[in-house]
Amino acid sequence: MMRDTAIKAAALAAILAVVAALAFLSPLPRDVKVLLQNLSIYIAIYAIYVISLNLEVGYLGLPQFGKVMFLIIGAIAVGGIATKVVLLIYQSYLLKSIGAAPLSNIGDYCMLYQYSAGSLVNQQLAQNPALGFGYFLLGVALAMALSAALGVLFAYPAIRLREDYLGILLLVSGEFLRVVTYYATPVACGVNGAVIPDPFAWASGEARTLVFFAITAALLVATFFVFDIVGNSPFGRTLRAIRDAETAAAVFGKDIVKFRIRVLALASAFAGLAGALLAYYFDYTILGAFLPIYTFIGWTMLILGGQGNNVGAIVGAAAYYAIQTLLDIYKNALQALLHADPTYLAYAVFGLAIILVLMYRPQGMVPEKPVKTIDLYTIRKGTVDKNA
Amino acid sequence: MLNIYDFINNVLVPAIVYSNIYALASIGLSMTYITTKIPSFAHGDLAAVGAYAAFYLLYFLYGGLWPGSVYLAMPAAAVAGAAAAYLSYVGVFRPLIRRGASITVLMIASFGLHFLIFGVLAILDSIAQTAYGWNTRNFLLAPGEIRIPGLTQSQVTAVTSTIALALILAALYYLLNRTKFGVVMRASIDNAPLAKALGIEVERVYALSWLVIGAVTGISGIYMAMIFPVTEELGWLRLPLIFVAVVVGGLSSIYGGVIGGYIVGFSMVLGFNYVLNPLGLPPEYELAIPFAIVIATLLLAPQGIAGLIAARRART
Repeated sequence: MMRDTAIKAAALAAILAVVAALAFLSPLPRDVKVLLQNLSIYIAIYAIYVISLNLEVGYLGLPQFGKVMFLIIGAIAVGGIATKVVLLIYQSYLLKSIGAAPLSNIGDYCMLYQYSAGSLVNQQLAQNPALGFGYFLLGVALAMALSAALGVLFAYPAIRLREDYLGILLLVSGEFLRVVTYYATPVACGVNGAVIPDPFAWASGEARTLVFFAITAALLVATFFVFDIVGNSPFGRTLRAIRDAETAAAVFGKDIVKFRIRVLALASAFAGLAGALLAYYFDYTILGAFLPIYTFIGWTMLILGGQGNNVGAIVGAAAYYAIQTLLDIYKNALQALLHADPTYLAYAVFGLAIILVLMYRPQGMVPEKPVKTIDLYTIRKGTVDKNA
Repeated sequence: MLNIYDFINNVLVPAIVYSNIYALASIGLSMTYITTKIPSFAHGDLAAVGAYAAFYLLYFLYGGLWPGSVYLAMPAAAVAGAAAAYLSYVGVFRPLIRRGASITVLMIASFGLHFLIFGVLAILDSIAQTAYGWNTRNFLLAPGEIRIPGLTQSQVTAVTSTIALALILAALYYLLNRTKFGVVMRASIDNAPLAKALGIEVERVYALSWLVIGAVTGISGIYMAMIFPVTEELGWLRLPLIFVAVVVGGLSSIYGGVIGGYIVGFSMVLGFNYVLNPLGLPPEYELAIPFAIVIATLLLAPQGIAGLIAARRART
């Protein structure tokens, strides 16, 4: 089972390498390459997001309708905490250049000089790649730890209740977190949005995009590896048992609440990772933008790709962006035809696609396969053989 | 110093209007839940459909809104909402339920439906905007409210929305308790297999109750449009609080949603006036109050207020 996952992870890495070659080194026209670069980074980040959603939805059947909250937490970890740590490190330098310490008055900093402070910090970070990388890791680690903790905390009031209550609570929690953090300036500059220093400032232009893609791709492969191992382990098998027959699983002594908590912690951590990557990629975050729609975009990808397997999650993310890009390319023609913004058409198309997939192909593009856990008998036989 | 007129205008009137809106919207969601077990994400879109149906009817008939005219268009809102709800059930939910879909699958389907209704509505609005030059977004239906000399528009709306809620509740009570359809419907809700065994066509009963759901929610859309700027997201943006109202009131009771709606409306307005404002906190934090209430409900009494009342009644 380990070998199987390793082969799939290696194949994923190979595909990502081909994509990188195509998007960065090929002789394609420049605008096509830029499009491919952006797309491949989005798809990789969202694939991490959807893989983590898949553990909750596809494996455990937990209705995670508050997923967007971890994009928010990731953005806060990066734009609200890690950024302030960097500002603190360069405090005396900023005091000399701008004449004000950024953290002494957060309101003024957010409104007046966070852009100039950001570009000064970027100049400094450009000469110190190691510090930049440390700052990147700090943001990612914070995002994962906070997401894991808050993911469990927010679900806790309904963790013992039926799936519909839990789903509603998570949806409302996501909205609550968005509104409260958006209007609190100290969190991540509130309504102004937070400028995020670039951890890879030492590379510029296309090189920076390549570095970012390489790191995102590596993290995607790692995420895939972790979730595929977990999904095919006895733990993953228990999750499927709970999903398919909760009462039966409980009768066999499986503590449903405990499994829900563990899955929420693990999945939320990696969704937080996706949130942190998005924040770093944009160099900027505004928490008010994280509407519930981003939860449902994740669900759309998962439904299209296929629940209950991690390959489907990645395929779903790619398919979503493929449709999106197609609609984008024919934007002007559609606009002339419809007399309406084609984005609206995209909504209708995705809505219809979800309904049709649920009706006619509920398994999605990549169907779930039987679990590959080695049974106890074979494992014992293996150890006996080795001992003998 | 407490001024009674200020209290009425700044606290009581908005609280009543909010409460009636959330109560009206919650009735439909509770009914959706108790008939077909779907906490539907497309529920808010039924309200948007109702509001737009009224808007378009008035524009096509009179080229605009005039005092009192919204009530001429109310039947259109009810019919359009009912049609959208009926089509959702027959076209999407019924086939899925026949295939044995779980609650989670139905919830996802409902959100697909939200995307679909939102997209179609938005395309229609854009077409109408280009074709007729009407401003089809960010308007209010308030100019179409009845005008009573000496009363502000919000005061009038507080009265009319209360009357609408009372009439709808009375009609629902009559429908459920005094008609044969009501008996059949309650039987189908309480025990669907038994109702089927007695020859009741449960699916047909559900389809009819979706008509009622859509009509009530379509009318709630008109009142939403009195105070919230109308866009295709009119109902979608209110959905988290409608869910809160339904959960607090009790997911398994039609009338629970009304209690929940009043708790949401009053807690937000009172909280804004007496907690957030004196503390200098941003008004958007009013969302935190119903959120705290829903968490307390889920921890202490997940069956909601209607469930508590029912349990007490069962004991005595």
